[in-house]
Amino acid sequence: MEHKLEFIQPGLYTSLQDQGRTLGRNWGVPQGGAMDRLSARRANLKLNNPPNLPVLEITGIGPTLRAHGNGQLALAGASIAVFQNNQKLNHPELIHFKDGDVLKFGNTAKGFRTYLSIQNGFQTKALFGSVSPVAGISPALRFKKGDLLYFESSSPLPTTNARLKKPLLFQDKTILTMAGPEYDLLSPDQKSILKNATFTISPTASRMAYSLTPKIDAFKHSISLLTSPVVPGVVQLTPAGQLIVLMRDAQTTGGYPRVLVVTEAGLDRLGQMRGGEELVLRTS
Amino acid sequence: MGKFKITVQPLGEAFLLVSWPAKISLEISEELLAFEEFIKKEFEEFILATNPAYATLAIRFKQEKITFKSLKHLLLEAYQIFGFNKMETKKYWEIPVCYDPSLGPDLLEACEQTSLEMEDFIQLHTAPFYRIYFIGFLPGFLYLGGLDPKLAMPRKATPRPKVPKGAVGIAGQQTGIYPQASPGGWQLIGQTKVGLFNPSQNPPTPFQAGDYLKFTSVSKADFSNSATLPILKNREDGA
Repeated sequence: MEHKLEFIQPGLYTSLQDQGRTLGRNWGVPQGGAMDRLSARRANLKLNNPPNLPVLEITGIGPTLRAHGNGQLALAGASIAVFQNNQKLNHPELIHFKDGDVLKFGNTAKGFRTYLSIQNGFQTKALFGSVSPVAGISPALRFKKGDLLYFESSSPLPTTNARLKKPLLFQDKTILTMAGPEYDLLSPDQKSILKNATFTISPTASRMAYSLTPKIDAFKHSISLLTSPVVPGVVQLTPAGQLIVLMRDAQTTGGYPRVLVVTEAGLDRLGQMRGGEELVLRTS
Repeated sequence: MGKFKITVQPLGEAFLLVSWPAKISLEISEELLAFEEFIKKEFEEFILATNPAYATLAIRFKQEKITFKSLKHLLLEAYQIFGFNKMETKKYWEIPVCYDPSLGPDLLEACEQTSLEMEDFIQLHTAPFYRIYFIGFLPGFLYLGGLDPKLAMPRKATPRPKVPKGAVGIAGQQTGIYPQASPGGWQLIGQTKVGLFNPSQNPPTPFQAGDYLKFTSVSKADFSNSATLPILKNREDGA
């Protein structure tokens, strides 16, 4: 029989993600991948899967899934309540499920994104080396009601990895960054504001970009750059004085000054933050 | 030895950025693309991927194999010894476009803005072989150089919420083709049936940075049967 998970409800924004692609930038294809790559790897490691296997990225509001087949799931990242056939699980980090089970996921807390791995992995199709959906190319960016997700049948023996029992806490408001290529276009005053200001993530935050508020008058500029490569983590400064942090699904080139670049750890941390949260940028 | 003063900076932890003088210039672009080829072979064990723009080259490197500082050193040293002949591999492409107000909703306004008769406008847009400087922004989006300055015009004050796939437009000194439907502020002057990006093929786009591309005008009557693949021309037909 074919093993699959059926989306009874898709949740707010649930997609398959891995560690992203290295190919494709020179064709304009975004890198993609889990917003919090560390937690995606941890979800896999809990089941002794290879760290780069595709996992479900659950954002804000979890999905409801019906199992067709038996298997084992592991969770990492933000906390989430899980109801298995209407029974709340006390330890949802590892879930054994049976054919016909209904798994209802609640809202994410202590973080924004929960990663769900499955023993032996999902059956998926990669696009230039990653399963991460690409806008305008992939049939859909996220799961919808009725979608089916196939998985490899798993051995009856449960496997766990005790070393990863301790969850990450996602409490630090400090995002680590490095100077970007245009950092030195900033005046000493602007640099000092950048270092000391507290910013708020705007509600439009997506897998492509997080805009930070407030706009800062002292940051207004009329610098226009020749279009140049941008990568996830680049912090762009718009002429209106707004900072935009490019996230995993960002475009491959851009024209705004790149004042900072968020570190890999900083990007993972940002992936666990949502619109309305405050942060401070620290340059190493 | 390279002809320019280049700099190497980190672009986050996993990438570095090589910068030439910030200009749209054939000379810089040709050297940059040749240098890209050279270092991809020379430092294969350290480099995961590269992507060029007009005057900058991003390199994703293997952090487990080499530090930014060491690779910077290697690249600057390589730039001192590297030499190149004009690349012979570039291709010349032709793309049929229907320039008709029904398919290019800004065409009439663009003629008015440039004080050109439609026929002359189309003639100027189809005359040059445009250089493909690089592909970026969206999957399959070509950054073209060589637009006749007479055709330059600002973007629309208010972007359209949806520009169709294959729309041909002008924005500032640039001309280009929308590879997929998306919001956009370019002045739309025509439409092509040529697909720029096919994810089921590898590579997904036939175009490469350094190739050249020419638009040809097709009538509205012929548009529905016009080519869906770009037409490869002989080099002699090129610029």
